[in-house]
Amino acid sequence: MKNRLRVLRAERNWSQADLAERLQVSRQSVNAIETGRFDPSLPLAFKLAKLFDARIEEIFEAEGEEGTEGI
Amino acid sequence: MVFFACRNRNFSPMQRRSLAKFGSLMLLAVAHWAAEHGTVAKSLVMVLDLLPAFPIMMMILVVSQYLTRETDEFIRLLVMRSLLWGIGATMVADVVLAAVGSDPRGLHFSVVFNIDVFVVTVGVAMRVQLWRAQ
Repeated sequence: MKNRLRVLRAERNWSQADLAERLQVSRQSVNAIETGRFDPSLPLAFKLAKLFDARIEEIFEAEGEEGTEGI
Repeated sequence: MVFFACRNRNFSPMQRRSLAKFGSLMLLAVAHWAAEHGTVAKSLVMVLDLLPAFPIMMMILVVSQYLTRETDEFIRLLVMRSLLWGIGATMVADVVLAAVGSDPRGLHFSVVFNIDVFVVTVGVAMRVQLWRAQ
């Protein structure tokens, strides 16, 4: 699953450790999510959405979903 | 490895507590092995022979408690994967040691080494996975 976590984090000038602290998870978790090696659970995805004040689908995008909007 | 991890400040207090419990149970397994190979009375050895079942059961309890309390789902996943590696390595080691032990002139290993194989494999697997997740 692709995500915009790195971009959103950079916009706020947060390090992975900063984001991890805000989410109450390890820095390794943030790195794994950012690099797409780990898909977060729904509660963690909601936590991320709330933290970035965005909808989940604005942060995460399923593989191969590009250009399907409006279909 | 477990004892060093207990003091690692990168782990949360809950993670360190769980590791300490796990380490103390490992010590019990080592004490049993030492008694078996030392100069302890045979009756005591027979009683101690039943003890390996206790740390194994308690280890399962401690690990399940840890997994229930661990709020970091990624770390939980890594622990689960490491445990699977541990189980796999223990089973492979059992098969190999049984083959080696089938020769009467060959080496014979105590089943208590299963715990060592399991714990070392889990530790190494966890360390490798954390290194890859950096």
